[in-house]
Amino acid sequence: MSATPTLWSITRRSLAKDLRLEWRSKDAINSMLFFALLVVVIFSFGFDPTAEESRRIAGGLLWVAVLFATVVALNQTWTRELRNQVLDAYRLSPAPPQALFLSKTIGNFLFVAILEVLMVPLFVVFYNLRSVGPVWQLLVVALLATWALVVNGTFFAALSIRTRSREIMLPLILFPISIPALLAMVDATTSILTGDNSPYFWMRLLAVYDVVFTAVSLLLFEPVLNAE
Amino acid sequence: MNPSSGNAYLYAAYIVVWAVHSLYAYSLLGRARRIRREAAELENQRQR
Amino acid sequence: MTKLYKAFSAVTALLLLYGFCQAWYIAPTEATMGNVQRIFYYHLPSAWVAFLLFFVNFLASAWYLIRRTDGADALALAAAEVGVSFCTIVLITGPIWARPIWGIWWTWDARLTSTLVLWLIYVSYLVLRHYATGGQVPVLAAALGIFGFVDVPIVYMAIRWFRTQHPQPVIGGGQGSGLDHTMWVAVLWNLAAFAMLAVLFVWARYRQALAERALEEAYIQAEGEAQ
Repeated sequence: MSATPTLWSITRRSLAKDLRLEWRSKDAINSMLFFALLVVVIFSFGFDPTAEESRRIAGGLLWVAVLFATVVALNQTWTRELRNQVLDAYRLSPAPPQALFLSKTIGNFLFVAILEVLMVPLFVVFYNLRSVGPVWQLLVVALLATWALVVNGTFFAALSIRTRSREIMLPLILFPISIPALLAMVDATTSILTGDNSPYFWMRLLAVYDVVFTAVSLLLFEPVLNAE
Repeated sequence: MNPSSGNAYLYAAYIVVWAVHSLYAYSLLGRARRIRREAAELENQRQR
Repeated sequence: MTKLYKAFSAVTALLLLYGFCQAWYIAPTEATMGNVQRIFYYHLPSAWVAFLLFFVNFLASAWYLIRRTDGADALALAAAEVGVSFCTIVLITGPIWARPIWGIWWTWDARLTSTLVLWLIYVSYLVLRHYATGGQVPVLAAALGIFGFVDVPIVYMAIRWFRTQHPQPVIGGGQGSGLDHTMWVAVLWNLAAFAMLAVLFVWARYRQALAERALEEAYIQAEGEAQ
């Protein structure tokens, strides 16, 4: 570490700490994975689609499963820091709050990305999926969509941790705001899978959403962290 | 279309408009009453 | 209640009465839709008032984060509450109009869907305010208010694009398409009347929010003195 800690070096250290904690406990990943698996299995009881139909609905099912699983992980993001007054210590330290936010967001991004890597094969097997469009587009959509879910989710998790019944609070405030992002990720995925429409508008919209909400979150995180 | 054939819909919409506004006004009145009562209680406490 | 508030209420009542006359008797009956079209005189003004109030909520939220005044927070709360109440009216009167005209209660049309999403966003704002506790509520709420407002153009873009890919219902006559001059007069009178009503509600709620806060502080002070 350099003599004067920069935003990035603090972010990296905080992230390394979170990843090490997660590696040892595997709390978030395990609960997320099992939850997502349950959602996939229950969905497949509900539908018995043909290959053609499954292309059309898989985008929606996949992202709804990821969304629910993400909420499970997000709820644990900040509770860990409440336990030993870590958050208060962070508030007192001169470290920039944005570093804390970024490290948490990147951490959640990695968890959700791992979840997706493990879930996509499941979807392919259970729903006999074969994409008509190019796979690299799906990859881009997945990256943009995951960031969109996680950047807002991490911010709202920090909001809802200050409320009564916080586990219920997070989806209540996260879902309405995320509706355009959800619409974009589901429609982009469906367009690529079926090859019917061009996904480029949705990819651009996701990119805009990511940029706008990353900026707003970074801007507003400091007052939220310091709210008394 | 006969001009008065949709009257039921118009009445329904009109009732909805004022039902929602009345509900809101009612909630305002309820809160005002609560605030006044709590202020009076506080005054009692102070005098004791 | 102050004298000014009473005078304002009286003017509002008169305006509402005049708006009623305009909407039900003075404005001509629409040729294809009949009297059902008169719902429009309540639907459109309510929508405009609701959108305006959400904008006020955004301004007050931003102002609160900059200056941290209790007044800004009270105004944000009042505007969001009254805005949701007006938006509810928009969402209910819309389907009542659509049923006889389009033959269906609801369609995932661009304007309907964006209004519904907007309503959901501000309901979630009120839910947050309800569940959050203590002195941090204003900051958390102000942050969410800004998020919600920033989301509006993105919602609008997404849903417009979403709709262009799906079949649209045939809009017979179409609201706003062939609106007569006298119909606009009725719309504007009702807009003025309901905007005044909204100001009355926001005003009252604003003062209540401030009174509630003052009361809370007085209670804490009284407890401190008792010990």
